[in-house]
Amino acid sequence: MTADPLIPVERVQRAVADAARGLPECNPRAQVFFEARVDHRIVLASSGPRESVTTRTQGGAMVSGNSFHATEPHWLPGVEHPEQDWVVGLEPLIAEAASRASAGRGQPAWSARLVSFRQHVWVGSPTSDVVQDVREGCRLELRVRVGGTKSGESLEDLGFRPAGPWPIAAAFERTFDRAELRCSMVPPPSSGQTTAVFAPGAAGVVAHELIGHALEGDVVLRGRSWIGNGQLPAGGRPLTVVDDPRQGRGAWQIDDEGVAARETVLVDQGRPVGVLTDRVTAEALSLPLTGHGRRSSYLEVVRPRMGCTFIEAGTDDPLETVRSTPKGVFIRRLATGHTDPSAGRATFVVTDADRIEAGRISGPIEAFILVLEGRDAWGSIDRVGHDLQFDTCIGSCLRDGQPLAVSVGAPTIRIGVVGIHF
Amino acid sequence: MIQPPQALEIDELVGIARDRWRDASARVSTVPLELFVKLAMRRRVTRDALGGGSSSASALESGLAVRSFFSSHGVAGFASSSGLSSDALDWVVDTACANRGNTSASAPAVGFGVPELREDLDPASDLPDEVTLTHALKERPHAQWVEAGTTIEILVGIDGWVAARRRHRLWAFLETPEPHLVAQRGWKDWERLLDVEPDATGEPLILSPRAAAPVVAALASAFHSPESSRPAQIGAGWALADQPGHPYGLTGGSFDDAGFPTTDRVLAGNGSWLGAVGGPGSYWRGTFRQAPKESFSNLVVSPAEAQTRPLPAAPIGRCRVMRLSPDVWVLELGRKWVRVHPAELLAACSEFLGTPQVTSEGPIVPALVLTGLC
Repeated sequence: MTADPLIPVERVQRAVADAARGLPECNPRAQVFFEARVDHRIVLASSGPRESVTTRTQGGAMVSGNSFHATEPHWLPGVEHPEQDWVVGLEPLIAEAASRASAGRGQPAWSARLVSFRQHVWVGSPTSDVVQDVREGCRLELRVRVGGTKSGESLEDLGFRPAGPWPIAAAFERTFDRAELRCSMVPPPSSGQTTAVFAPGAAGVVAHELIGHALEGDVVLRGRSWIGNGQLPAGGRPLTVVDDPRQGRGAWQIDDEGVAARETVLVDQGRPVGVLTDRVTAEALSLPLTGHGRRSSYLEVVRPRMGCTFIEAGTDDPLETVRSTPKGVFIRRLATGHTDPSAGRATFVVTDADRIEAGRISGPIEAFILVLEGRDAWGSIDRVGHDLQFDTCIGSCLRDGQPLAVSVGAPTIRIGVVGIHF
Repeated sequence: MIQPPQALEIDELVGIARDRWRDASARVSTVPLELFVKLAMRRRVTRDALGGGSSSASALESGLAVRSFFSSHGVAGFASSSGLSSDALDWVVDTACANRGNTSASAPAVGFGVPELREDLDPASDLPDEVTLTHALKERPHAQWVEAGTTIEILVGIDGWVAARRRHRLWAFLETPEPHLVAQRGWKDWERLLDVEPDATGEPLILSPRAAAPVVAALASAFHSPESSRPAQIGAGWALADQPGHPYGLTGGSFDDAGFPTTDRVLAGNGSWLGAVGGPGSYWRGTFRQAPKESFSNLVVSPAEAQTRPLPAAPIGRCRVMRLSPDVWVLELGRKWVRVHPAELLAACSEFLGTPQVTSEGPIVPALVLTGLC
């Protein structure tokens, strides 16, 4: 059997338009969605074979009224897909950077996990032209372990775009340096409340979990948002929290319902003012469309999702923030445990942090659990630095089992009341 | 051009898979190929956010994956794609051959004695229809959505044998006592899955089946996986088996995802550690987009003696296991935190009570009593 020739994207556009015209015009939410996507995962390590996995996804969904149906349309064979040659070109850079950084450090163990995707989507409806969007991103996770009986491990994330920059060498050096320092980890402070200073970028995870999820349209619609009444606890330094899907490692310009993405201010100087919407929630809440309707694949329905959530920069000096902290923890890296948007409570595993003693960062500490009660934590934010950074902690947002590549950002932040355990 | 199957008829799908494998093998005649085909049909009904009505969603998913075996290196290339078209197949074959040397090549060898056709099929049955699902949802205000699905997986080995598996599963998301997922295999009495039991924190430390499941999964991974080491001590009540053939298990089957026949394996019992999973019969794929690797199927806790006495206290309904390091875990039990070494947790498993239940996380477990943890 001979293979069908690949079809140019223009024909995809026509096919989606034809399918959309078959939907009832009277239903404003009638739509056709089609995606073509390629994902690569490459793992390089100091020992063990190179791993490489490539996956292709093509499929479509039709929405009409209150019903949704998804499948791989038989009328559409493979879509031509430009390969991500630039990603493959990163491999020799990684190997060389690792070799240089590990020289003279004994025999450290390292691994580099490169995950990239390229997704092309088309959205058509009975009454409008087909719109399309291309999303592309790449993430590099470096993991280094040094030492013997007393070892130290460090992790660093980098987000890449095709045009660069690709500061791989510097990242390897930092990661090795940090791993060596973490060989002298001590236990964290005793369980209880303390003050936490978040390194630039790290508090973006907090903004994503505590604020972002609580202001997703379907959460607000179900009455399950701790700030759904439009109020945040008073006190503390007023922050501005924004979500802009057009930025970040998984950026999109058009969402999966064909709506133009736009920067949405969620909290403006301490006041909740925005909600992330898709078509259903925007209509139900009588709110504007924000272009945040996303699905993790053609097999799933759309729901409001964050894209790039960040705390705007303030004016405080980050160094002075640490110097003015008598006692606490300096958090460099954290991973989400879980979040309850209705209670405003988020739990994190802090994997890289230092003690702060007498205004100085005194040394690395072992992993611990961080619990933020939104009402206490929010009102105790008293320093917001001028050093906004993005994607120092990279992860995927997993909501209802549906993963989505997202970005976060923040400057140095100090929160006066946080709970730590072990 | 292959039309997507509108109905999941097993004979037809086996024929499609065989044809696809022949096409793939003809494309790369010098490299043995294994083909894995997945088809799934699912139907979900979701309560509207304002509670007044519901919406329905259906999906028909198909996909295939190829392993290309480079015998001189003992490793295989792997690639996967959605769809069953000839274009998808060609792309997957070419990519798998290009991605050489990156995944395990464990598979029944030529002449292993694998039957030409093996079938491991849940009885043929339609999905519960939309009206039935909607009615069940309406009757239970605490249920946010309910989903029924049928999955067929067909494996064609390097010498053309075929193994086919069909599973029916039902999932639901309930919002009380706190948001959680429930699941079962098959449609029998499925509506009862949506009913909620009362829940409370309790002393002594008794975990409901739903709370015990993540503990059992974590301990199995730490002490009974291929790369784990034998523990010095285990709790008197620790009894664990890996049962691919469990009739209500959400995973598993009579053959694994590399085509090896499976057997149930006792991992612990009578206060003794008895083994770990690994080797032929334990190769499973998380999704069709992943190559098979050694892992658990259905973890089952079946105490030797049925403990039928009533629970001495209301069990804890939810437990999270958070790993701070390989040696430090934290159990989150509501608002209570317990720091524990994995070996201490294993030793604290003193007793299981009641009938094992299927949990959405996978393990089939009764209530678990932990003693000696502060």
